[in-house]
Amino acid sequence: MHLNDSQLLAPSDIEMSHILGCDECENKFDNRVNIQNKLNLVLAENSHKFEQVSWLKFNSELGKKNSNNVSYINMQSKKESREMKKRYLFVAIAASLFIVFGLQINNRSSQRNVLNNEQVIANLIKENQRLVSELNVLEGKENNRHENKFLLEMELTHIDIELQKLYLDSGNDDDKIKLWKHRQEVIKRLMATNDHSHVIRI
Amino acid sequence: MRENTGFTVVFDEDVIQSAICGDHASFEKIYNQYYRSSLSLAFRITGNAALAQDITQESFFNIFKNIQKYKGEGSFSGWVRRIICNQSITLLTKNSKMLTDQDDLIFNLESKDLFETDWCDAKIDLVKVMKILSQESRAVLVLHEVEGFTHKEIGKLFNKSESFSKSVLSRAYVLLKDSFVAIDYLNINKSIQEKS
Repeated sequence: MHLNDSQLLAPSDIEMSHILGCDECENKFDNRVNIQNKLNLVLAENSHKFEQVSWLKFNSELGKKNSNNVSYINMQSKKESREMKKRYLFVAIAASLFIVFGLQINNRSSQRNVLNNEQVIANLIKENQRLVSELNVLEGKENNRHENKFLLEMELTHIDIELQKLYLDSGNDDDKIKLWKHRQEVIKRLMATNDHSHVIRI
Repeated sequence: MRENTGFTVVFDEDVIQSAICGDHASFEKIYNQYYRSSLSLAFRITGNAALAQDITQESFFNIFKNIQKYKGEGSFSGWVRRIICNQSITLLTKNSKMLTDQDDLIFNLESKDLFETDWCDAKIDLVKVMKILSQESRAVLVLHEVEGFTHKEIGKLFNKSESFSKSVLSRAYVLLKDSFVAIDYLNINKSIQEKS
């Protein structure tokens, strides 16, 4: 039985000995370590250049914080906390129950939406790949000129650039889905022109 | 290759004891030694420079206020590091939606295709791609993969279960992989179009 992704991410001693004795898992584990190393390297190289806050400045902030008696613990002293608890106990219980139930429903549906979006995007990528492959198969058949062809190719290039930008700028899933669908439409329209002398290949 | 964070520097027992007794000269030594490393750590976890500065400042207030709570179990730098991590997670989770334990179950931990290839193409900017991750996912990824925390320790930091950490880490990797695959696919198309 080969190890799953989660086990490869944090193998136990027993799982580690399996890795050492199994070529398939060892290969996957090597890939996992390579990716981890790149992550380490990149995060070390990209450290932000911070200005050092001098000790004098920090110490004066620390002094202010203490003398003004606004420290976190002081603000939440036990006495105040007890009084607040008594005063707002019933209101808080009612409000908490309302919020907890409300948030649970909201949270579950939003998490499911995220997972659904990921599935939708993965399917759209596959569909795009399938269409481009079909387009390539059609290449070499009829070669009739279509006045829209150039514009469609331009549109496809534009969508690809936008998609790439979205992924690099961590755009939202809705925009990605919209663009992948749009890309799919453009490929279909390109296929309909039956002219793919400059068609993309994967 | 890992950045020398400065947490590897060990203070004499005298400095720690003097600091516990409230000696400001010892506070200064500790501050000067660990401040920059703490900032880098908070920045790696959050990916946000302004937040990292707030976290570090608040953490050092807490360190000096609670220094008598350090009982010498484990290294002092490890204690400081843990406070920075705790403060980072506290601030991150303060205003953001968290996955519930029940949501952990939604993610499939049994998948086996995440590491079939080394998909992390060096030509693609990993730091930019990491922006796709939520702050919680980034924090779990950095704590586990870069800072060496176990799933159990991360679960504790988030006040969640061990499976929460496993699930978030796997999900973070899946998102990174999908983004790399998509960008790679688009790059190939672009270069073919340019050639033709």
